[in-house]
Amino acid sequence: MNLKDRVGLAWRDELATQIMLHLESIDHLEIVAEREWSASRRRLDALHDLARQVPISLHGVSLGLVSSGSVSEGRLERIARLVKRVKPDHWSEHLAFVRVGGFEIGHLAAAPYAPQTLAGALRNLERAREVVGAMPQLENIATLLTPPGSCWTESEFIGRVVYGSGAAMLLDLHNLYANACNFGQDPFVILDSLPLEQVASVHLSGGHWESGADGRSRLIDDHIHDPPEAVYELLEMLARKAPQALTVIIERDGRYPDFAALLEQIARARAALLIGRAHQREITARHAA
Amino acid sequence: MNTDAMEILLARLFASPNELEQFLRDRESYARHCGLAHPQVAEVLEIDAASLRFAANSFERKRRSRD
Repeated sequence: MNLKDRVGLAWRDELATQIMLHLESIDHLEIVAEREWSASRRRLDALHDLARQVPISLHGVSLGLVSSGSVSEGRLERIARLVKRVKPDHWSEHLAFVRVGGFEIGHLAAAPYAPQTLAGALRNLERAREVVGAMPQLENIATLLTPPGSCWTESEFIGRVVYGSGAAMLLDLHNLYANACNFGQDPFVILDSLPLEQVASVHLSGGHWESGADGRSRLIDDHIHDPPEAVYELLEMLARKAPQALTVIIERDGRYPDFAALLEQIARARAALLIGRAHQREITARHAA
Repeated sequence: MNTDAMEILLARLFASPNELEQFLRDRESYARHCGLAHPQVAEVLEIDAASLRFAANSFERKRRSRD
């Protein structure tokens, strides 16, 4: 594969044995940071050793950086300690808020796509860079609601946060796909509206359709189903358009299939990257001629 | 625009099913109680109730699955 694109998996303890047996097929591992906050010294040593065998990233899920409120110093310090200890390739967090004003949502929610949120996000990201020593890659989230109080689209808001902070983007293609489906938009148009040259990493996962009381079906990102075909098509388009190397991570949080099926998903992602890169080369050659 | 107040309103609705029910019973009073000014109050009156319930239920399920 050109450009040193990498394809790997999100680390889950349930998959540990199989991951270690198949490291030759896995270019990258992503570890949820919060799950390691209480890790023993022995486990942290093991993670550090793992990071020397294969590039790993630490993935935060609870900082709530994209908020008009301030990020918790304590949480940042825990990330900083983990980063210092494990020495990952990079770390990442979500374009989301998790708590504000004493109210704890406990999960990732979209704050209004508005100047106050942008200002808070840029402040929080700068603080994260100071405390942790590096800017996180920023992941787009799945949301069932366009936050009231928004004056920009999600893509415009993401662009402003990413360019304003200088952060790279972790583009979750299933979150993008789910939002596009749920808001009646074309996922390929949405992809094109994002700052693709800032994308460093990619998440692939799956979800399920659920009917609401209003009779409408919505696609819920759940990480317990296989990535749908559309997600690979989006990856192919991204590989066609993004000039930089990409690290692609398959996320699976439960209902684990045979490991062979996960390896097949890795292979499917590699194939999508190859096709996209071939198109990119073709286009570049045509322009040069 | 008072985005802080809007963000707090969203956090209240997503953090607690009781808050959500109170909001859906009387959106305008709830929004004013949260400190939202007129243009923001108008916006919360427009929120699609089914999508809001769907999102809030999804957060509640995720919290429960973690406990």
